[in-house]
Amino acid sequence: MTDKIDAQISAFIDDELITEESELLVRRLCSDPAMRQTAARYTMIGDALRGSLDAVRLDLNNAVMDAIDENAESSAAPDSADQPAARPWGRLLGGGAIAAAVAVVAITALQPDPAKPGLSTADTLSVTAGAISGEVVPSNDTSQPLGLTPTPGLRRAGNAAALDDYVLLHNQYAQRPVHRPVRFRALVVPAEVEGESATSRRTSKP
Amino acid sequence: MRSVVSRCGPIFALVLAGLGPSIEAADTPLDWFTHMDDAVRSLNYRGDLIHAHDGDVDSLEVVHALRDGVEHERVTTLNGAAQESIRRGDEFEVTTPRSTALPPDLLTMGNPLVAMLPEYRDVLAEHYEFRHRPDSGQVAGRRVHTLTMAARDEFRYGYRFQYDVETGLPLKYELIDRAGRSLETVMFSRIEVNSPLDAEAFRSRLTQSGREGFRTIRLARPSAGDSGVAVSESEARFGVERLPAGFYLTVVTRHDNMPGGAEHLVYTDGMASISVFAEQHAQKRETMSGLLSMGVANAFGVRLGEYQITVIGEVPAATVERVGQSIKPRP
Repeated sequence: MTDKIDAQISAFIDDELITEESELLVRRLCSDPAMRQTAARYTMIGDALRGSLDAVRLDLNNAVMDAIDENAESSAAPDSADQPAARPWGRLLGGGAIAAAVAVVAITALQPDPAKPGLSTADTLSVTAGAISGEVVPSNDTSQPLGLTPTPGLRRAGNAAALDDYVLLHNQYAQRPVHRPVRFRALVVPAEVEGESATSRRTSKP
Repeated sequence: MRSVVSRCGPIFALVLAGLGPSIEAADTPLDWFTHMDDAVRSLNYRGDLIHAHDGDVDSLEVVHALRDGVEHERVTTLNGAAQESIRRGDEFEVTTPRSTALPPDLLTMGNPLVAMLPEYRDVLAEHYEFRHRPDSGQVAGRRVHTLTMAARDEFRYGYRFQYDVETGLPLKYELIDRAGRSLETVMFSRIEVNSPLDAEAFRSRLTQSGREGFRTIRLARPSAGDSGVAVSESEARFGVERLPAGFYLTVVTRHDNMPGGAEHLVYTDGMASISVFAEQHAQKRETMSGLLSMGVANAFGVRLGEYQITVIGEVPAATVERVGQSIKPRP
């Protein structure tokens, strides 16, 4: 994906793209999973920097969180004289910020579930998030047991987000689409922690 | 689903004239589904639709009319994030808050009831038992017939439709397990049928309400296959050795814009569909192994040599697992 496309996605999310370009970009987003992944990552970065992912931050390794904060500060610093302090997050396209934001989801998704300590590999799920920088993302090792709820009844829609590209393609061809209407923030549903349901923290999930 | 309107012109014309044949006169599954499909596409109606699934409830306002032969439709969310879809024929606009990213399901928005109806084939009766109970209750204050499609085996879910005695409009849809328990419900809680709907009814409620901060995107509805290249069945690189009875291959596509490329095979029994994706494994690509439930849909992932196999469908977990475990490369 070119820097120009990256910049267009960033501008679109910041609502700084003109209408004609927006429509063109939307068409490309609809048919290009890689572009959608990029848009979703930029959204996560924005959410993280706006502080709307506080619940996720609780689960996050401090070092990774520091990386996000440092990156945000360093990215904002050069323009601090002529830019508002809270600059549009979509412009922060530094690789470190992206990798750290992706790690937020990866680490959250892989948190052991204290309620299901004894799940075997056979009935658990492994999801690893793709990374621009791989050093803070868990490996794609499917041999270790992970604490995600086995089917049926899995409640963590965030884990299903790894399948978004496939679901979109499935819906184009399926007799009956997998109906998941109006679902924003597809990649940002934090894991449950200590009595607080994921649903209660889904701030913008309809 | 292909429009029944195009296949059943005379019936459509009668419905349009308000002289539709009595629903009681229909006595085959094809008749029942034809009435429902004609009604949902041709009638004027306006109501609040509830979608209950996986412990969540979404509520939508649905407005529909056929004006000068063109379907007009507005779907506006009533809870959660504000979002709206306005359709005129094959063109539609989607309005979302500026502060959110694009919803990934952008192109599948619209009247959920349309998507719930099958393209009926007689072979469905081999795998579903049809039961029809006339005048069997009410939904949104209107008398309904109940049509149940009970799965004959454990590889698929069942379905229950309740449709308006007077007009044939489907008012409630349920996905059910083998015990008849509801797994997912889409139903009108309030509806007005055949009431006059002027152009105002199809104007955006979000951008006209004085609320700010919305973005509207205009799109032409894409046709199936926009994002892939169809290939013949004989060119498929993979096949399923233990496909559950009744499922058959409908389409094979290649998606070169996915990392490493991907082959997509779609199987259906006429109601449920199963997608199989075979993608060359890439380190930077999200992968999954094992089973995952996404509400009523299930997914199964497994590595097969250098390929990542992912199976998705609105079918029981046992079905996606069975399919995923029996994917084999074709010689």
